[in-house]
Amino acid sequence: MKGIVTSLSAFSQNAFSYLAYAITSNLWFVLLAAGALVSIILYLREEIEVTVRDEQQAL
Amino acid sequence: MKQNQSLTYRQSLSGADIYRYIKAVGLPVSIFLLAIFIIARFAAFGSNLVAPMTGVMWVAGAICALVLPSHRATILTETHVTIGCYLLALAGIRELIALVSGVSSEMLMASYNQAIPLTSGSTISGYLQTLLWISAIMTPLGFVGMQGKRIYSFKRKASKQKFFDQTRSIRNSGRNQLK
Repeated sequence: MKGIVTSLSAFSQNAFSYLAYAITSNLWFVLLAAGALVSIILYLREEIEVTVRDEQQAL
Repeated sequence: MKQNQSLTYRQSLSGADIYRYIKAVGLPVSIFLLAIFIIARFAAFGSNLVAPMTGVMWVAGAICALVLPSHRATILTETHVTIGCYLLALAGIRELIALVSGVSSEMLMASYNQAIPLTSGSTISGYLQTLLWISAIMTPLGFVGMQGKRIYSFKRKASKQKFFDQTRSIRNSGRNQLK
């Protein structure tokens, strides 16, 4: 079990290291990351603005 | 004043709400990861051409969504679908090139059961490379042009003065019809 957890941890570290390397090695990835970030913010704002929670007195 | 907090009914988050929030974060993140994967597959072609083109498309979509809040959801979905299809199409053409790169003219003659020029074996991968270049450049150009036209036509049509003129025209014509 410990071996599996260690392997999973190493796999995740490797993945994040590669992601960091890919983003920093090519500046165009910064543009991609900015586009993704703005899209997430706009999607979430759209959800928050459209959704109205019902709240009223029970009696 | 007495606080009766326990008697207030509040609607909690439903499963559909949670799904929409997950989709709002998951769709851009998955497209971003797909972009990194496809760009890494294409090596120099990816980092020098596909990455800038994808970034330009994404930023154009984001700017358009910021400028036109009423069309925001449509524009964002359209942007993500276009970028996803663009990347998958490029990856598909790359696989096709890999498939036909070792094909000789004799093999093509055998598969078609038809005599063809001896140069056909090398030109077939050339055609696919041309298709790859055209797709890689024309899709982003078309998308950016479409978003620019959308902003232009919206700003041209939806000015406040035009809206008031239109309303006044309806009011006046309605009055005229009553006479």
